[in-house]
Amino acid sequence: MDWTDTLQRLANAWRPRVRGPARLAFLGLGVTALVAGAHVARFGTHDARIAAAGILAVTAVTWLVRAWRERRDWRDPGGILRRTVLPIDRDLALRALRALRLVQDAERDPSVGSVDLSRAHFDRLVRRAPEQAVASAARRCAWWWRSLGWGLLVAGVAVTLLWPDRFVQGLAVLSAREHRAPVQLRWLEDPKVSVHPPAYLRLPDEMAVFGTEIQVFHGTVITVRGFALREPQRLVLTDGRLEVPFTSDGSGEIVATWRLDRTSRLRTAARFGEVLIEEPEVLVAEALADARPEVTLDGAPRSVRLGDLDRLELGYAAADDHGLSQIDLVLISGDREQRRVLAHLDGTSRHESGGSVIGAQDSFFKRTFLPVTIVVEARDNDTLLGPKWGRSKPIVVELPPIGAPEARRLEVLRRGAAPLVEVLAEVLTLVTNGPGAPVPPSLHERMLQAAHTLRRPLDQKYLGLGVSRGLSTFLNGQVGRLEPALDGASTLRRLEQVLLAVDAALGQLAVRDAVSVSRRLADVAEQLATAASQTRENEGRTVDIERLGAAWRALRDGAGELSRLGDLGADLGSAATADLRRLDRSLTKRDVHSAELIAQHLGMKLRGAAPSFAGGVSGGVEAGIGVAGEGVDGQPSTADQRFDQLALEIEQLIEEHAQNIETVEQVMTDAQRQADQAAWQKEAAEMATKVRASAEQLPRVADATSGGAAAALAREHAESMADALQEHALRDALLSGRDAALALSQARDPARGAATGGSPDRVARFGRVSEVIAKALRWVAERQEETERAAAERAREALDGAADREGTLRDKADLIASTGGIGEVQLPDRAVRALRGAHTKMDSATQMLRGHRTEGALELQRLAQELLEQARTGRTTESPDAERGSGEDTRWGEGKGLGTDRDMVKPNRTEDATKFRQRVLDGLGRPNTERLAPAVRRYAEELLQ
Amino acid sequence: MMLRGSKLRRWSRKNGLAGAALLLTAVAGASEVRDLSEVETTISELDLAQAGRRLAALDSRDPAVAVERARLALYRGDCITAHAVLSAPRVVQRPDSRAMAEVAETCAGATAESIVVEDPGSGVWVRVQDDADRVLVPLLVDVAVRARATVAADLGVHLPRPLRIDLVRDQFSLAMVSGLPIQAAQTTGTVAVARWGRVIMVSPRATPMGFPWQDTMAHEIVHLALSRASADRAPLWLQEGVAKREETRWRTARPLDDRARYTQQAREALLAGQNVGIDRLGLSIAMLPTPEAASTAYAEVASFMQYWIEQNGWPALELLLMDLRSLATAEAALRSVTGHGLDGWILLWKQHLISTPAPTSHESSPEAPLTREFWRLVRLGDLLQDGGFAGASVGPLRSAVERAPERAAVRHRLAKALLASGQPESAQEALGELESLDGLHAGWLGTSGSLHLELGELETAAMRFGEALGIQPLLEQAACGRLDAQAASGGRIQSLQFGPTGDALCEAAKAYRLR
Repeated sequence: MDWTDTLQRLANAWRPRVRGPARLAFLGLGVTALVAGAHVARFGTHDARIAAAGILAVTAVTWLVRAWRERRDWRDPGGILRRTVLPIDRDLALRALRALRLVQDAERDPSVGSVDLSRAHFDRLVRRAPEQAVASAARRCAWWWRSLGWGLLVAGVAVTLLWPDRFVQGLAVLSAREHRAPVQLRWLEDPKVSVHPPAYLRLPDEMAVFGTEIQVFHGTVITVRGFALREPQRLVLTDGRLEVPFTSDGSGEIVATWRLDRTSRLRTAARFGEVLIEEPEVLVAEALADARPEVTLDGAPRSVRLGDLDRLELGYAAADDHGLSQIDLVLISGDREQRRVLAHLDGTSRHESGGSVIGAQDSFFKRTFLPVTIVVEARDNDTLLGPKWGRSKPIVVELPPIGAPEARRLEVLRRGAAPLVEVLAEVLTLVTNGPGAPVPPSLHERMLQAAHTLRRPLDQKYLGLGVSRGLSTFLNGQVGRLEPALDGASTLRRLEQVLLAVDAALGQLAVRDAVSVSRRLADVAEQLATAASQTRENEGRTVDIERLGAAWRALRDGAGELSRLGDLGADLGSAATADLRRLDRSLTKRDVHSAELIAQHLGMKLRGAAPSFAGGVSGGVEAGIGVAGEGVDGQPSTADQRFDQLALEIEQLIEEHAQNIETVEQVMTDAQRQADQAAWQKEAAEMATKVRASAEQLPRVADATSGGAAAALAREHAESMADALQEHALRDALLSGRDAALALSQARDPARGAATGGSPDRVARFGRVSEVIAKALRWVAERQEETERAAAERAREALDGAADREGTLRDKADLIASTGGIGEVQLPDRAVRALRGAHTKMDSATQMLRGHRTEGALELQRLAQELLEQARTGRTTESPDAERGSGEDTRWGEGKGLGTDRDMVKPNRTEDATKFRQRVLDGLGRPNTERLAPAVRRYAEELLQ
Repeated sequence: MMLRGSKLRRWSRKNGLAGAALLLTAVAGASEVRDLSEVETTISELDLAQAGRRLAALDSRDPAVAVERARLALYRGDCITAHAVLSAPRVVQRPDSRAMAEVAETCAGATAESIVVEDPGSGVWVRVQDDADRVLVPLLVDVAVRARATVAADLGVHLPRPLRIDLVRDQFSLAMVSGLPIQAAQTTGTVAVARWGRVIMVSPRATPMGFPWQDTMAHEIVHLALSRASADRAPLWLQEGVAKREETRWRTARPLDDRARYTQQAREALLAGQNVGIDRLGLSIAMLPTPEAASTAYAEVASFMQYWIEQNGWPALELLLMDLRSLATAEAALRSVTGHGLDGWILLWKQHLISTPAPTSHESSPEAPLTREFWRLVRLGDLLQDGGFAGASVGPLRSAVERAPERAAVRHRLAKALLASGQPESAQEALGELESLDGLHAGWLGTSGSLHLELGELETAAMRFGEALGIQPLLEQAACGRLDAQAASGGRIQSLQFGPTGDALCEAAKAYRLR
């Protein structure tokens, strides 16, 4: 269709007038939309950013649609009519549009009608459109567009000018990728960065600036402080992963604190919802790790055999870059681990060295069968990341087979007893030839040698295992009986007794050892069963089959050693070996279920440690008749049992006597507590004042003169005396007074004074003090005598009872000494002498108690108690550890005394702890112990809390 | 209300089907219970193959069936299978399975990976817990075959094949395998038990001088036969009485067999008020409180059964066993066969005991208590001998023999000492007469055999060695001495006196001595 002039005119009347204002309005719309979008986007949330983007998108779409419509409408006659005529004459415009459609239809389809006619009709209608009216309408429209455009433009620009930061921040937030704005902005003015290392490092604070790199320790606290450059924002300090908010410090500045736990790139940033806008400058903080302590163990790594040791001395040194807090000795065997604290430190020491000792009989060695790895571990003082342990290289202790020490000990002792049999055979021959014939000196000499041969192994160690004191004492006592030279028959009789006694004791030792070793092997078997069970359940077969194999080997070796421990040991060892063969087969087939069952069976059998056959006559009663017994059912000698009975009597005597001493002490303490002190309390206070005043005349610090030191000492003692008087502790006052008088006599020595130029005045002053002290001493002695007399009077009945008990115990001591000095059971001379000495002291103590002279009686009782302790022999049935404790380690170190913790009362044992505390307080707090008793008691009370 | 025509049919169709289902279920349940009971009986009668077939036909998911499967496994000696079956959660809750489960578990531990030797020819299955006892298997089989044949001949009971024997290493294992409390085994000195269809016996190596293991095994085989014959309903007095009577019948008579004066022992116990009582034996003689009580109990049951058989004859015993299978109680069976119940027979037997004349002083000679001096001398002798001073040990041992001349063990020591010191003539004299001893002693018999061998009295030597092996098969003197006797006789003695073992026994005996 061709353009007609009319339409062109109409377009020209409208378009030039409206186009410019309309563009202005759309420009204003775009500016406003941008500003609004930026402000909405600045909220930073996901929704806000979507909304902002939507605003901008809608604006852009509007622009595009308008441009498309402009292009389309002004090229189309219909569009020109709709733009120009429709706003001023709607009816005409619609008719023209219908005419235009008719023209178009006629052109497409001549059957619709004449093209010319339809065009003529359309032209006629278009010409009727008033050009002036169109122009007028265009002007009105242009005015509206212009007003809108300027309005939007002014608003947009005004908002931007008012809050330019927000506009920029909004755009930055809007354009953020992965929650980070692509632009960086400054947020802090004059930022100050302080670096505070962890407190446990005890390092000074430092300063740092952004844009640099620093190296600091883990846990360092970095504080950033400054003024906010822009309006209040949610500023944070961030490493890109974590962030810490800035907070106001109340003085206008804002501050953020960052605890460094890894190398970080720190920068300040502002958070807008989910988006961060970061500062351009970065502080790179490299976190230095707190290194593990380094520990060295003398001689490690190495392997030692337990059998070659009596004890293992372990010297160690530990070092840490910051400080040590604990050092442990660690014993590891298989999956078993035991830690023993060697030192608790305050974390300031960077180097620590010391030592420890592990005895060959340490309980840990007894509870395991695998090699023991010994290491020293040190813990640092890192309280931030948790303490770290450093470990030394190991010392591996190869254990002897279970039961090997016992087997070797028994073997050596039996070998030691063999010469006795040899001598007996000769004496038997001699006596058979002539019962009354004397024993030739050469034979007697051989007998003594045999005795010596038996004595020699008693002090030795067998793979770390010794002979118990009781058994050693018993055997020594027995062979000691062979020393006197007697006639043939008497020698024979005595030799037989000794041999049978030794045989019985060694037989019992073998039985005890067999039972003990059997039960230790039972532990191993049970562990094996447990391991097999775990293997079966966990299916971790590869590892645990090795563990099972190790346990099996330990059992095999142990069973071999068990077989060497007498008849019972041979029997149990043989039975165990039979089961071990079955166990071996099951392990070879990897049949852990059978292995578990067999190990359980073996464990139960070894735990019971019963012989294969017991009870009834030989072979039982199930069947058969007339089967003879073996003939060794009876006891050829009970010397060892009688010796043990005697040893038990001595132990009971010691305990009972100690109780009697306690009773006397308690009686006196109670009596003195009840003493009527009111009569002389006031006088004692006056006396204390006088002594204290007098003591002030003495120098407090030793001066250069000879005797100055003695005078100063005298003052100390005199003041102690005054304190004791104040507290009515007469005995302490007496002792301190005596010390003061002695020191004063030295200070007043005229020869010294002359030699050093002491003035006569000074000597006279000392003399006056001496007089006061002497007077006070007399007074104290009198009061004490009165008090004790009164106390004894009050405790008369109780003391009589104690005297009776002391007498009974005295007689018992005498009886034991008599029994143990003669006959088949021989106590050592030392024990007999000690018992006799104790008997004498106890006799005197009895007399004194009857006379109510308690001080002297107690003194004698204590002496008797010491002697009784010396008479202690131990029992043949004791284990060698019984007298030496369980073999736990003792330790030493820099500035530390020897110590062992095995007797410590466990904190959770409340009752025991209370009793222990009471015992200590009673013991330390008694007035008659030492003159420092009150101070000691106070100290002890604090210590024991 | 009446129901007409189609309604009746519908009702009967609907409810009749449900009722029939219920009825069938009840019948099936009752049938299964009956089947299980029969299985248990079949197992008790040791017909294990039949029991296995019956069990296979039952629902294996039923816990009650599982219990019977476990029982069958135990009777077959398969403790591990029994343990596995009884460990199943659905079975472990059953109270009737707990005791069996405990035995199955301990038995599995005691027998797992043990060596099993089965001789199809002889129909004997032997499991040895200790590999070293494998050498004893031919001896065990020999005795088992003979004893089984004797039992079949005497009681008419044919034990099924294989006859199962468990040879365990010690009393502990005996308890674990059998379920007998270990305390009871140790108290009464029990060395063998017939339980779970097997003979469970302690190895002779458990005690250095052994025990009469051959008679013991025969005794237990009799128990198995009686269990089979009576479907395990034979009362304890019958079990023990017959077993005691039968235990020596498998072999030729041996010295001191006539010492079995059960009636006299029972009489003395009755008169002294120390009798146990035929009807008060408890669960087992092995569970009596003391070995003395057990010994008295054995004497009482042996005497009682001796009396009962004397009064009623052997056929009555066979009848009694047959009635026990069919009748509910032993009392009923006893009445059925003899007309008297147990109380009546006990009364009659006690009257018999009281009327039995007291033994002559020679027969009764109670042992005097031994003094410490005796033990001292014996121990000195041992120490001297072990120290290599056999000559010096003669004195103390001779003194010990003077104090207790009946003690075979001490005479054996003295003879050994004399032999070691080159006085074989005196050794023979020191051994004394077998008839005067307090009992058979393997060492005494072995030494006696050696002396007879030295003298060329091969028959006597072989007899002594055989008797010694019957007590301690690992006695070196006997185990090796018989080879010498065999060699000296040119092989003639082998077939007469010894079982089918070879040099292995001699080597094992040497190893045992050196243990």
